[in-house]
Amino acid sequence: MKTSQLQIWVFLLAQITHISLFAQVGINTDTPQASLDVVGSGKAENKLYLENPGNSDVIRGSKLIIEKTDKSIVQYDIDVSKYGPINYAEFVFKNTPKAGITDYDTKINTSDYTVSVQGYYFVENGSNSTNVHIVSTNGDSVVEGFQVYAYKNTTTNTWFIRCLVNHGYFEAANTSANLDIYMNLIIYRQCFIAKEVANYYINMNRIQIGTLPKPPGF
Amino acid sequence: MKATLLLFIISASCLAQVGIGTTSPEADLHVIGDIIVQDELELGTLPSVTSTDEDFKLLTRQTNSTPVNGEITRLDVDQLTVAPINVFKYYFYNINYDNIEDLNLSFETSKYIVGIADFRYIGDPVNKVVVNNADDSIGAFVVRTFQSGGTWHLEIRNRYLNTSNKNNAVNYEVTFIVYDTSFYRQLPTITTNLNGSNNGTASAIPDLY
Repeated sequence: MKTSQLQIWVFLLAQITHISLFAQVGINTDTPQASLDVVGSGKAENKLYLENPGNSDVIRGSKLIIEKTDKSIVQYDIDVSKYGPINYAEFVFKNTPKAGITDYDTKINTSDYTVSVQGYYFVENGSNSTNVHIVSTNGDSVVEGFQVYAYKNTTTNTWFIRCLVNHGYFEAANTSANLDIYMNLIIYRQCFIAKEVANYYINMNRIQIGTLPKPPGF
Repeated sequence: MKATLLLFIISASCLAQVGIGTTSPEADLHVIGDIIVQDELELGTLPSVTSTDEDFKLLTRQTNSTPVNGEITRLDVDQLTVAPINVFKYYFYNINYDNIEDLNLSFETSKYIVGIADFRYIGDPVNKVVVNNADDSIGAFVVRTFQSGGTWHLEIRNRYLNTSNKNNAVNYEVTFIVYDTSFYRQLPTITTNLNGSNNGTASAIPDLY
């Protein structure tokens, strides 16, 4: 090998060493603007580590990052997406009988969503008067309980709504009037950030003050 | 030789696709293996979710991964015992009259926020009593979770009235919504003295930014 050839080799090796140790690498660009600047797409077969990505301290103007089922990484835009992580809908039931609602099919499927009733109120149909109260068929000396809740129908596999008095009915100022029932439903998408856990049946053993262990894992 | 090396350098810096650990890259940079980025990762174009996408997963960054911190993982709530939001029904039976006075649910307040939905009062009514020698009171029915001694507690009862029967008079069913505090922040209590007025303005605004 001639001296001149050796010099070129050293020069080239220095260039390569330089590239791998100090300089910036560009893919599809001659002017990289970061240590590695890929103009185009990137694909990692295994893991990606971000050692010092910095923190985000604002909610507004930032978007969550999600992975689609084809493994591509995109940003989550709630205005575009088919569903939100948590969804709120007001359900208004017009002209319901005084007995309330026994079975109402929301048509929301139980395999993808968890539905819960997190608020409600009653008005008199027609007048919108809020003077709606509960009448017990057990007489005037008792205070009757009632139930407003969402439950799973295992035949249709959809969420149903029920709203009824245990022994009695709802009554407005006009005792023959029907009701309008307003409900706030919170609808969680399962397997995104929400999870449905098994039911628990708790025997209180007629103890008023006590301690219940947490479910396993919590 | 010289030409080959020059071509190599040129190809690394200019030509289309680069593979690391592969001779047939499927992207402009295709790494068969792991990538560690020590500082920022900036994505010039990040597409958005579409209206037909389903079953996508949230990505999270692990702060205690190996060999370095910062491993990006998908949040798969099916694999987690505790999700950001956990929903479950509790059914209480064999209650003393209608009274669950203070049931420690054992969820730590430092880790969880526990809310109630879908409350069901199942069973007999409570009996009114005469208060102040005149009024038949309907008492005060309470359904709440509250914090005490570092854990969440449950109270469901009419505080003044009872059912006729002591045994098996009522059952309760509730849905607990258990939020993980690494996603849901508990804000300080805001107390406002209304000075006897039925109107008011918040004495402090929660700092949400």
